[in-house]
Amino acid sequence: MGLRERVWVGTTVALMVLATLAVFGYAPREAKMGDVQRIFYFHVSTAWSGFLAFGVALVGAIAHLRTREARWDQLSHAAVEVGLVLLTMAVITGSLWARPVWNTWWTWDPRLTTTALTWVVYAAYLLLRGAVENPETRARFAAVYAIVAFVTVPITYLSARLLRTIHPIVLGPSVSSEAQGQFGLTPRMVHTMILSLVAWTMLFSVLLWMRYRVQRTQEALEALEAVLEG
Amino acid sequence: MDGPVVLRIVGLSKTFGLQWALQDVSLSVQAGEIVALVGPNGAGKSTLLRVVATLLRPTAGVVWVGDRRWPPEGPGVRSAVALLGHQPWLYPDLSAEENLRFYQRLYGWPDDPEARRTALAQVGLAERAQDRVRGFSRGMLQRLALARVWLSPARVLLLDEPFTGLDVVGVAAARRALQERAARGDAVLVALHDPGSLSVAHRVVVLVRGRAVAEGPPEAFDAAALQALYGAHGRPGRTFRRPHALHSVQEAPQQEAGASEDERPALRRKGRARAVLGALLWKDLRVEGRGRETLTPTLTLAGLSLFLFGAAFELRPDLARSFVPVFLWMLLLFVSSLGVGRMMASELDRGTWEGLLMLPGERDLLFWGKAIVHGVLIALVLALSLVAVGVFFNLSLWDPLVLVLLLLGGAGLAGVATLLATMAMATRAREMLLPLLLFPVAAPLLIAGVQGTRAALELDPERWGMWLQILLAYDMILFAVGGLVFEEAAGP
Repeated sequence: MGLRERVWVGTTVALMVLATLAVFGYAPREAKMGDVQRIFYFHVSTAWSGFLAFGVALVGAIAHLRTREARWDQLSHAAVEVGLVLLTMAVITGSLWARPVWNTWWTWDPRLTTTALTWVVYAAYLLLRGAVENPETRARFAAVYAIVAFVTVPITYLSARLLRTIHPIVLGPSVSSEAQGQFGLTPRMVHTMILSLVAWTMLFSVLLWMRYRVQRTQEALEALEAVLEG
Repeated sequence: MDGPVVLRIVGLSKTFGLQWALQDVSLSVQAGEIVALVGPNGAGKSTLLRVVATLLRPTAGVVWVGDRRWPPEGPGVRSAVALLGHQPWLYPDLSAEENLRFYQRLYGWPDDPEARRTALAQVGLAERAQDRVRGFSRGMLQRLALARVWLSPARVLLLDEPFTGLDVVGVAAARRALQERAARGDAVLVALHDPGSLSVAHRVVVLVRGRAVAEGPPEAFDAAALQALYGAHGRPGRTFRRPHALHSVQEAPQQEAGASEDERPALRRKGRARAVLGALLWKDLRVEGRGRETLTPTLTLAGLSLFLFGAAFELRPDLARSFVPVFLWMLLLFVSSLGVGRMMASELDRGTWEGLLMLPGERDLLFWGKAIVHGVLIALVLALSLVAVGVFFNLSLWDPLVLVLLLLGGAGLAGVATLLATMAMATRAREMLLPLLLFPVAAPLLIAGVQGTRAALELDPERWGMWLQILLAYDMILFAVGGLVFEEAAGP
């Protein structure tokens, strides 16, 4: 690992520690929900990073179809893997928050449903990759599906803004009068939120880079093995 | 031979994964020349022809057909070449004459019955013109596949083992036809494996382990000479790094392109779109009408599912209004996956998919054509389901508000299922994979459809309008994405 990468990883670790401390020490206790509201910082940050990852996967997919270079496919693949982990975290943290606030782990609310759909679509992306043997065909099909799959991302974003939903919209105006668990942000909450978003975005970039490098190394290793066997 | 070069292959390489299939192959074919590709099994002959025909993308190097360069100009190249592949690309439920007519229409050739009769007579099938291909022997299928090539106005013919399965009379007729095409000025690249058949060519190129290792007149390559060449060259290489695409060779062959797209009015985009869509619809409806491979089982399954649902739940009329829309839309989703998957897989199983991919010009027309055919299938399932809902649940859904939603949903499903089935059928476990790919992407259609149908039944036009807009917007997104990326999903 080079110096630049060490600085990058070190900064990310420091920011993650700082953000976690801010969540539990700096951000105020929400008046109605109490400490359970603090999960919101993790929930929003992981959801944001997850959807950002799917955006990167889309860019990688388009670039691969334009250039046919394997590295873009590897980037897209890595982004989907990291994105799925982050989105899973967002769903789990959301569910943990929902249990005391909504009195249920899960409800068929438009925002929850569309988020789950996004998760399933990208899980299907990984299944598709596993079902194609030829590497070039696999990369091409994966790129096509990553483009189709991204259609679900704006739908998830818009679902809570256009449809009747009980999911609170903390960032930006809410149009739903049925939102449950809605709360206003104090300046300290805003600072903590911004710090969390930055820290998790940095963490996403580090994870993406590492996963991408592992995939490139794996491919080089397979090629070397093939040369030795051949 | 000193005619103009019509086909030029420069530094062509192709890898499958880490395995070389072709390594730096260069050759050219002049107008009026027959060049035979000969080599042992697995030498790369078929791969070379498939790359030239744009069914495979080269890893490096370029192919010039006239003034069209592949890559990137696949659509233009396809309009100037005719390919005879390993598969005859024939529909068993069409007659010999109908098969030829379909390809005439699909490829934008003149829909000329006289030309069909001549081509069938040329291969000795004039008397079997109206017989369905299902009863044909292997040799007859090969003859009919050759008739398709002889019908083609293309200036470059690519033939992979054209004499396979033919009797002596068939071989003699095929050789004669080949020489006639060459005499007319067409360029022919033909893969052969039998040294005895090389005399049909003006020149022979020997391919071993993906490399062009020798070239010369046919008389220089008897069985002993070929055996010596095959044995002298080592095992296939593996590549650690892919070769870089060759961009330096830019110049086109001297002159005279193959018949280009612009020269043939039938191939102009608008007219061609109509011809291609019409040909696909005509072919699929005829094949399905005779074979009943997809429609009958799909309709039966839809009716049976509704019957079982009714028997299992015994819904009260008030509950039926709430639950039947859910079941109807779920049924639509499952049936779309099964029906569309089956229709697309049939093309692959029959070996006709490559014939469709060879249509000249952009392949998005194939997407639209197949989506329309699948839309018709879904509409028929819908019509039957609505009748069944009326009978089993005493619930009439023949309401314009509901019908609009169902038709829009069916259209969106047809589009996205066509796109995803194109990829899924080329994977392992395609039957399982298609629903896994399709259901999550199509779920917004399902949700909007169910909610909109309920709103229509509850006479709530405002809610119905909102869901209609969502359905419409999602349809448009799916069709736009489908049209844009279908070429990539279909290959090469």
